[in-house]
This record gives sequence, C-alpha cells and structure tokens, in this order.
Amino acid sequence: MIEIDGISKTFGETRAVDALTLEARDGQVTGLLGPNGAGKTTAFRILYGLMRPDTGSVRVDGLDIATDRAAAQSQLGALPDTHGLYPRLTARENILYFAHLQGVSRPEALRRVETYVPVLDMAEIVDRRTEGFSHGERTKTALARALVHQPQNIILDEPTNGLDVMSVRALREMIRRLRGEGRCVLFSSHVMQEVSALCDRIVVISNGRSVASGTPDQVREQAGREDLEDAFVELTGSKAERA
Amino acid sequence: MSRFSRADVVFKKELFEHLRDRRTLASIAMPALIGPVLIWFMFQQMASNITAAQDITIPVIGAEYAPEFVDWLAQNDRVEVSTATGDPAEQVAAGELDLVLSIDEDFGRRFEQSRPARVKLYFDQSNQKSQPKLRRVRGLVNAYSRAIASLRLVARGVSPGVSQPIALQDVEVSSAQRLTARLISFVPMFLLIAAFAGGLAAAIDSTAGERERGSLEPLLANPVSTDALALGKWLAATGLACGALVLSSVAMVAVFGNLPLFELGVQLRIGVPEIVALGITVLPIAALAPALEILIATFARSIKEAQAQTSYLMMVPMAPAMAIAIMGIKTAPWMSLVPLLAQTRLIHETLAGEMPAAWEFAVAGISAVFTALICVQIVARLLRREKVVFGR
Repeated sequence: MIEIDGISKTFGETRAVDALTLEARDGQVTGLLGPNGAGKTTAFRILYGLMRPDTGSVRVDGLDIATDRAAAQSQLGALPDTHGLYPRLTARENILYFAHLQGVSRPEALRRVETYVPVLDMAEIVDRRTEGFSHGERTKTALARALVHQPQNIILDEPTNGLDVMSVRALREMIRRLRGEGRCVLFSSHVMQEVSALCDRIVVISNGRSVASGTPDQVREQAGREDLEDAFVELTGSKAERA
Repeated sequence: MSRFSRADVVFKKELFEHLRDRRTLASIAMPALIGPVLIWFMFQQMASNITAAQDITIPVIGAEYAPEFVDWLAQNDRVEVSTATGDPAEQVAAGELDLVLSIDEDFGRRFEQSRPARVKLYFDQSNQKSQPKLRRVRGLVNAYSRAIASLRLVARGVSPGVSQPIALQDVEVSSAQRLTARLISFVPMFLLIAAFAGGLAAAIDSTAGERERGSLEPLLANPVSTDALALGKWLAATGLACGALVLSSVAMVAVFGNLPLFELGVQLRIGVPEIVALGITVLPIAALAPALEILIATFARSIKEAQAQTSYLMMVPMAPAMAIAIMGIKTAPWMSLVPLLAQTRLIHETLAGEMPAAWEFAVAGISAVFTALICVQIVARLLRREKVVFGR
C-alpha cells in the first residue's frame, strides 16, 4: 500500500510536482498516466526516497519514507527511469548484488532468480555478462533485480518504453502475477493502451497535478469522453489536440 | 542496523567486478611496473656506458713514430691500441670514432732532443658518451709524460719533485655511485604513482561510472546508507591501490636485487629493509589517494570528465617531493601531521640512511587514513544531495 499525500517539488522556477495525492492499494495495479514531463519520474523519485518533497509526505505500508527510509525501502521494489546494470557482471550477479543489499541470503536469492528466469524468458541471458544486452534484456534483468527481495510494493517507471512486443508481454505477465500475489503495483506510462490493458485504477497527471483518478470507466466519465485516449487528451490539455 | 551495515556487500562486489576486468587490471599493473622497468633499463644503459669507458680501444695514427709510447699505452690494464687510417677529424666529427690519437712524424726526433714531442688528440666535445674515454686517454698520456719527465730529471741529477710544486691528488667519486643515488631517488615517486594510479579506475567507475550507466538511481533505492556505499567503494579502490603498491614494491626489490652493482663497484644504500620501509610509508597513501579520487569523481557527470579532473591529482604525489628538493624546504616536525608531506619527509630520511622511528610512520599513516575517512564521509553526504545524484 502506497499513500502519497499532497507532495510538491519545485526546481528553480519549475513546479515539477504540485500537491499530488495518490493511493495505490494492495492486490491492484495502479497506473500513473501522463504526458512526458508531467512529473511522473519526479513523483517516483520522491516515492523511493531519492528526493525530498518540499511539502507533503509518502507512506509505504504505513512507514513514512522521510523518517523510516530504510524500512520503507525494504518494502519497495523500484524500476527507476534509469535502470543501468553493471556491465562486467552477469545478469545473475547483478540480481544477486541487489538481493544482498536488501539483506536476502545467497541461497534464497539464488532460488528466487530461478523462479524469474522462465517468467521473464531469461534462460539464455542469465549467465551472460550484461555488456551488450539489448534494451529488452536489460529491462528484464533490472526488473528481476527490483523484485528479488519480494517487496510488497512495486514501482515501475515507464517500464515498457522501447521494448519489443515479446518483452512487453513478459512484463505484463509479470505484473499480473504480482497482482495475483496480492502485491501493490504502481507504474507510470504515457501510453494509453498500456494503462487500459492492465490497470485497476488510473491517476491522470498533468503539469505535476492529479487531474483525474479512479477506474478506467470513472476516468472516462470525469472527462466526458467515451474513448480513454480522448479522455486523456481532454484531461491533460494536449497541445496536439488543440492545433 | 548500523550506519555501515552492508558496506561489505558493496566492497566485495566492487572488488570482484574490477578484478574480473582485464582493462582495470592492466591499469593497475602498468603504472605499478613502469617504475621498476624504467629503473632497470636506465641502470643497464648506465652500466654499458661505464663498462665502455673502462675497456677502451685507442685508435692511433702514426704508431710507428713512437713505438715505445704506444707499447706503454697498450700495457695498461683494459687498454687496447688499434691502427686508425684516413682523416681522423672527419671520422670523429661523423661519430664513427670517439677519439683518435695522432702521433707526429717528428715525435722520435723531438723526443731525443728533449723538446716537447707532439701528439694530437681528436675528439668531439658534444659527444657525451665519449667523455669518460677521453678523460682516460688524457690521463694516460699525461701519466706517460710525467714518468718521462721524472726520468729525465733523475738523469740530470735533479729530484723529480722540483718540477712538481703542487701534488694534486684525484679523489675519484665514481659517477656510477652518483647515478645510482639519483635512480634511487626516483623510487618513492614511482611507489606514489602506483598508489595513486592503482585505485583510480575503480574510484572513477564506482562513482562517475555508476552515474553514467544509470545504475546509481536503482542503487540508492536500496535500504543501504550512503555511508555504507561510500565506505564499501573506498575500501575496494583502496584494496586495488594497495595491490598495485605491493606489486610495485616487489618489482623494485627484484630489480635492485639483480642489478650489476658489483661490476660497477657501486655500494647500494638501498636494500630490502629500505624498500619495505618505503612501501610501509606509502601504504596509507594507497588509502588516501582513492578517497580523493572518489571525492573528485563524485562531482563528475561522466567517466571522461572524471578522468580529466583526476588527472590533475596525479601531480600531487610529486608536489611535496619537488617542494623539498627544489626549494630546499627544511623538514619540520609539524610536517608529520600533513599527509603526503609527512610521507615525503619519511622517504627522505629513509633514503638518507636515517631510518625514522616506528611512531613517525604511525603518525604519518594515521593522519593520511584520517583524511581519507573525512573524504569518504563527504562523499556519503554528497550522495544524499539531489543535485549531486541527479546532476541538476
């Protein structure tokens, strides 16, 4: 369970996040939908404790990220905007490193890696050095790395960006599995189909503010549009539509 | 959970990752070995020059005009006489011969008349290599001249001492000895370079590299304090720098143990205990240098930028040594507390044959490690700053 309560963040003159409030529940997939530059990445950076908000607070399973940072981070699995790997380590070693940083024992971590290999279709790459991995292979490895400590809450920042069809499928399959296990999944996207295909709840964000939230149906209703894509354009005030 | 828990995980991963990379290993081994290899080559070069001066061949023109003189020359130890032909001036100028001794046709006649017999010595002043040989030939000719003069005076019933109001005695300070001392003075600089270069690749890769690859953000999302991260990264770079230093010291010991010192008649002031003392002196620098490098590289946005900025740091090992050598700064007790300056002072004393006391090594070492820990602490704080992490 992730509770974001009125967070704001300003960089110089730019208000990246503006009094954003959001709740992501266990056993649900919550989508943070917004155009590029809407403040999704900044909101997530605040969420996993890398940035301090100017105002507002974030709680993960009831733990305040500002005061109980380490405990809250243990309950989070993050696939940030940049999810670089260590090129001289194999995919397996990359995953094990983060497992150890999370305090997972070696045998337990090794066992978990084995369970992700078939789901993420990593059998061929798991023991290869990540130098020269394709974008899809890197994202899969980074995802396994984010999940290896079995966090209750998973945050994925635009996870399907630049992935091929097969990788997107594997990723969706993984997200559904996590929901089935009763975990809380929060992911951001600027792609409509993505969100409507997966999410139980949607929060539409524009210029750092939440402009609509609820189930896909409720969002359509709030915007007064039948098609979710139209609703998105209406809500975020895309310039392309006005032109 | 302590501030530093899981620093061991970071340390092990960083060390493992770098030991696996051939390029990193090369970047550790090359600067560590370049010093010993250079010293080896310089010494070999020097030895061959000196040997060349000792075994000399004197090309002589007109040997037939002064057979006794030439025989006398050839009887000297390690001297051979050869017959030269052609224009001596041309051959010496062209560098074909180092020098030529040309005996005048009139030599025999003038000698018998007790008038100065003429001998010309052709040489090239700009040919540095021929200088020892030249000195030797001059010395031989003068020695013969003096010996004949003494005999003539004795034949005339005069004491030979009459012609020699002053007896100048040459005290030869072997040039080999001086050159060896100069080579030895390079040893600490090479050891310092090994310490500074050994951890550099790891220091840059684990900071600026982490940022450039985009692995810093996911790393910081783990429940590990930045204190633990900075400590682990520093320890790994320090381990590699220490490895480079040990490698360099061992190579130095091997080189000095196998130099042709005896043949050159050189007494070496540096032995295994001195090199070990130098290694121990420089060891804390192998902890300080990576800390400084990590601190600088944390600010850099890319690996390239970090490499450019840390390259200035490579001048640091030479600065205190140069300050003392060139400006002749007197070593003072307060220097023991200033890292690098303290080590430079200890090195000077060790090389001068006055082994410093154990506590002096300890004080210098502690001040260096303490400074390193301050740097690590600053890095840990920087990693908590958004501007540093995200480069805004």
